[in-house]
Parts: sequence; structure tokens; C-alpha cells
Amino acid sequence: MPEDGFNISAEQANEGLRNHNVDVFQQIYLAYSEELFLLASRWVKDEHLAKDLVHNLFVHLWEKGDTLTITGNVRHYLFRAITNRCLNELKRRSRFVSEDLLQWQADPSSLNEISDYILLQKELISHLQGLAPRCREIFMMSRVQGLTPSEIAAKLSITLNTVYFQLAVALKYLRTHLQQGKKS
Amino acid sequence: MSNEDIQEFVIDCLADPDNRDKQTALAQWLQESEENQVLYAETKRIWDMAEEIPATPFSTAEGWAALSQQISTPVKVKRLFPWRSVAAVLLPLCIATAFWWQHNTNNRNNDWTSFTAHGSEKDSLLLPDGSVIYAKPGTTLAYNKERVVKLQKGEAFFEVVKNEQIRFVIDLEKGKVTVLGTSFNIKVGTTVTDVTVLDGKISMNADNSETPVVLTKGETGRLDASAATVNKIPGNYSYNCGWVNGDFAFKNEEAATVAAVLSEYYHTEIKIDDSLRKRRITVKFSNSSIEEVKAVLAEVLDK
Repeated sequence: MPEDGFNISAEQANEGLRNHNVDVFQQIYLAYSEELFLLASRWVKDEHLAKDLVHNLFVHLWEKGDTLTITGNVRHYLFRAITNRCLNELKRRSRFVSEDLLQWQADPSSLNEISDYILLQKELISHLQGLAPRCREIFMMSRVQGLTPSEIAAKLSITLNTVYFQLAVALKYLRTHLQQGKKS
Repeated sequence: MSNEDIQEFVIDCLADPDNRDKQTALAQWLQESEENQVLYAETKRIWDMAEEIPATPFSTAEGWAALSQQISTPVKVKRLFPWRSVAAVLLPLCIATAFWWQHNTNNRNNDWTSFTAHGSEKDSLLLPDGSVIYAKPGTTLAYNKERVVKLQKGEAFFEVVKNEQIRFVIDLEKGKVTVLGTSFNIKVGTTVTDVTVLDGKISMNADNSETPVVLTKGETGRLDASAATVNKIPGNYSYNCGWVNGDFAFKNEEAATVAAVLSEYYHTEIKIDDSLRKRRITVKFSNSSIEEVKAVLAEVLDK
């Protein structure tokens, strides 16, 4: 599993939560909340709900900190916790539960794979900031808003070729930067 | 096909999956070499992954601000009488009193919340009055609900919500800044603290002085901690605010300064030839990529 500069042992986390240590709690939040949000968004396909679920998980950790015991890897623990919350919420709302999520429940070892994916996604998001604004705009329109290249061309009054070119620039930039991250 | 063309070709195929001709061409191209397959797989991975990026970015700073309001240690209400009926009457009363009491002490004693900026670039913090602070990593400050911020160290950019009734005050070690509603940058150094106004008007004074220095758009005031004085420094330093919005405007500035400011922002060293370091240039960047910045600088200095 990739390292990300922040590592807190289960013992440290447990002690911090038990003592209601705000600094430790904040560190955990700042280190993991975005990943948990990305994972939750993936499960529930609803960003507002995902944000609330992450918030609630941390409120729970704070309030019940003295009765909880984190074992093993803190990130894994949190990933499992948020996934269970997502699953419960989806069931409560009788929403569709994806194959993906059920498989994850059945086979906890698939956690590593998902965890790698989420970390890479987080890195990808941070690298988007390095793109020129226009290029980023076109890339986001294509990928996040799901517009086709011709729709983007029409919307921005630019040629189709420009759209392809900017998408190529974006992908090339992201590919090189993500690879650099892997090597170092 | 050159490398550029290949990228475009791959994207063309990814963006238009229903086009048979393109897909056939793609299949053929993939057969040509293993290298092609790796390139395609990597590109496709990013392409697919980006599709799942949430439309609204997640702000850990905002999330933490919301969370930290909710996690203050709950006040335990002890039940003094065993009778439920009495408790039923007293409890709401106790709670109401507790609220009233807390509300009052909040107003009087100014409940301070501390904040330390994390993250690699900047951290943002939403204050109770709706103002926003962007802070560089390592910046520490404390704020209350009365529009008072104590900036202890680091560098922060303030976007203050306008409120004619309540002034927004930033307490510095040896002075303070008072505003109604505007945006500006404060950089706390060991000996001097620089305040640069991006928009609007602020007043600034040293602790022992009653006469404030008024600063308007583009102006910079310097608080000297040892002499306890505030002086306006000549020149336009609005680029001091660039780390927040990506806008950098340099007017007749030494190339060496321009390179230093931009190097810090892009985390990349921008080298300037020794003979050109003193050359004064006027140049403007708005959310440019580092490649664009380098190209423009080279162009400007090449004249």
C-alpha cells in the first residue's frame, strides 16, 4: 500500500480518541477525510450524502472514542467503517447496492486494491490544479460532467480539434505526473 | 505517428467509443507493440478514473470547521432529584439556563478557536461571520465569533465579509489591522509583518500608536516589531496575494524577484541568467501553467 507521509499507529489513534485529544483527532481528520469522502462517493454516488457520512463517522469517533478500539491499520479501519456506513445508508434508503460494494463486503482483501485506487484518485485530483485553467475546464467538462467532445466544442465555441488537443494535453500531463509520483 | 499524434489518436478513440473505424484502427495499433498497449492502458486508466471525480471538490478545511463546532465536549447535566417529574420540569430550565449562560460567556469572554494550517499548498478556513481565511502551511491563528483574529505566525490571505456595524480586527504581536470588508494578505515575519491590500481599504497601527496608517488597493504596509512602527512601503506588491488566486501582476519589478515569487508558487526553481537578474520587467500571469510561465519569462527577457 502506498505511503502518503502520514502514519498514525492504531495505538496512537486509540489513545488520542480515548483522551479526546483534539490535535490527534484533527490530524486523523485532515489525513483521511478526503479519501473517505472519495470512497463514500464511489459507494453512494451522491456527494452531499458522502460528505455527511464522513462527517457523521468522525462525530461518532469523537463521541464514542473511549469505547472503540482500532486494530491494525488505521486507514483500513476507517475505510471499513465508512463502507459499512454507506451500506447501511443505502439499505435504509432502499437504494441500489452495487456489486462492487457487496463484493468488497464479502472479500476484505479487495481493500488493498480499492485503497490504491482511492489514493491514486486523490493524487489525480491534486494534479488537476497543475493544468492551465482552460485545459482543466475542458477536461472536467469531458470527464466529470460527461459531455462529448462535440458538445464541449459547441458550448465553448471552439473547434473539435481544439477539444481533442486540450484533452490530449491534460492526459499527457496527468500521466507524466502520476508516473513521477510512483517512481519517487 | 509522432508521440503527440498518438496521444490524440488514443483520446480520439476513448472519446468516441461507438465509432467502428476508430476502434478498428485502435485494435490494429495495439497489436503493433507492447509499448502501445502499456500507453493505452495507462491513458485509459486515467481517463476512466477521472470520470469518477466528484463534481464539487472536498475541502478538508471546511469539513474540519463544521466538525470542530460539533465536537466540543458535551456538558453533562447532573440530576439532583430522583423524581422524574421534577426533573422533567427542571431539565428544560437547566438547559435553557445553560444555553443562556454559555451564550453570554461566549459574548463576553470571546471563545477562542485555534487553527493551524495543514496541506501542501494552502488551507482555507471559514469563520463564523462568513469571512474566509486562506493560510499557508504552518500558519497558526485563533479566532472568535466577534470578528477578531489573532495571527500568530505564517502567512494568510483574508476575504472579509462586509459588516458596517462590527469591524473585523486582526491582532498582530505588536499591532493590529482593522477593516470593514475587503481582501488582503498578511505575511508575518520574524522582524517585520507585511500587509498587502488586494481590494478595498484597511487601517493598520502599531500597539503604542493611536494614528493609523490607511492602506488602499495595491498598497503595502510594514509593521516593524522592534521599532513598533507602521510604514507604507512604495511599490505595488499585489503579487503577494497571487498564491491564493493564481494571479500575479509584476510592474517594473526586478527579474530576480519575479522568479523568486513564481518559484515559490510553482514549487519549481525558475532560473534567471545572472546578467538578467537586475532587469526590470512588467508581466502578468493568471492561472498559467509552469510551462507557460517559463516560456513567457524567456520571451520577455530575450528582448
